[in-house]
Amino acid sequence: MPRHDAITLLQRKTSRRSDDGTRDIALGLLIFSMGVALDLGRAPVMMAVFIPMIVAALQVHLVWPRAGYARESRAFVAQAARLFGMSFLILLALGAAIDTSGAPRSAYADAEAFTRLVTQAAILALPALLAWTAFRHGLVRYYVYAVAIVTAFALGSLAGNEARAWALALFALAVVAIGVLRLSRFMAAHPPVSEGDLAP
Amino acid sequence: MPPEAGSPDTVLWEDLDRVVHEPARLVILVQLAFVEEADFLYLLRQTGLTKGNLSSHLSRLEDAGYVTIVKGFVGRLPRTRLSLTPSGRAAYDRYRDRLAKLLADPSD
Repeated sequence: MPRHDAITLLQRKTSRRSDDGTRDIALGLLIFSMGVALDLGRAPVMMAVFIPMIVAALQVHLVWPRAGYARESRAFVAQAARLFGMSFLILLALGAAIDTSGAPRSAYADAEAFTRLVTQAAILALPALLAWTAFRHGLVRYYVYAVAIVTAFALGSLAGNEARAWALALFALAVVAIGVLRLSRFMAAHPPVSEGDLAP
Repeated sequence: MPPEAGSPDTVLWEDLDRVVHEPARLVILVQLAFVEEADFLYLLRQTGLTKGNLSSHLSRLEDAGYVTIVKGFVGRLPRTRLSLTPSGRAAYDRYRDRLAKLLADPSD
């Protein structure tokens, strides 16, 4: 009974919180910038600075005054980081092994090709993280996101890199749009509340 | 195999922590167990309790040493930050273990 209750409450908590759409916006921006970086062969450095800033601003000014503030537990963040890190390293090693087996090693002499390899592994590691989050919190749309990323890559191997870039960009923009829609619904449903009116 | 009555592993209903066992306080502890810290408004939204009810249960948990309550301000707005203490987390874990043992199917 307590285990069931705890899981139910956790799902309720997460699904309510994810209703604000900021995670979808963050994910969409992340995929978009990584997709662009992959296409250009540049390291997606700017995204590491701007995306957290955008999401933090949305949360501070729009979400927390309405739904309250909560900081993720360290154990949860560490678990997610471990899963993403391991998936990333495995995919990186796999990508390097596959590419170097078919092409001469000099293909990686330039930084651009290496950056592409790293970015590709990072994007493909996202579905593992999304599937884990979906399973843990019972969020079905995260499974759809995970499948869509893999599909975009499969499309790339069939129809070329340009098709992959377009598929990733369109998918990323769709995820951002879903996030914005959720955020606007959330804001309409939850007016801002001052704790001064609530706390004893 | 369930432990024999009277053995050191035996768990009795009376062994359950009454502070944790109350449904509203259990809901609060569950919410706080999954986050590092949260504010009053967050708990109010997640638990569905009224503000008076939530306040009184938080006071009870604070008295038991299970929850830390820090009152502060963000700009001009007040914000009450809440988190589980180590003993609160231990009490919550102990409660879950004991209840699971009590409800365990003897045929398992």
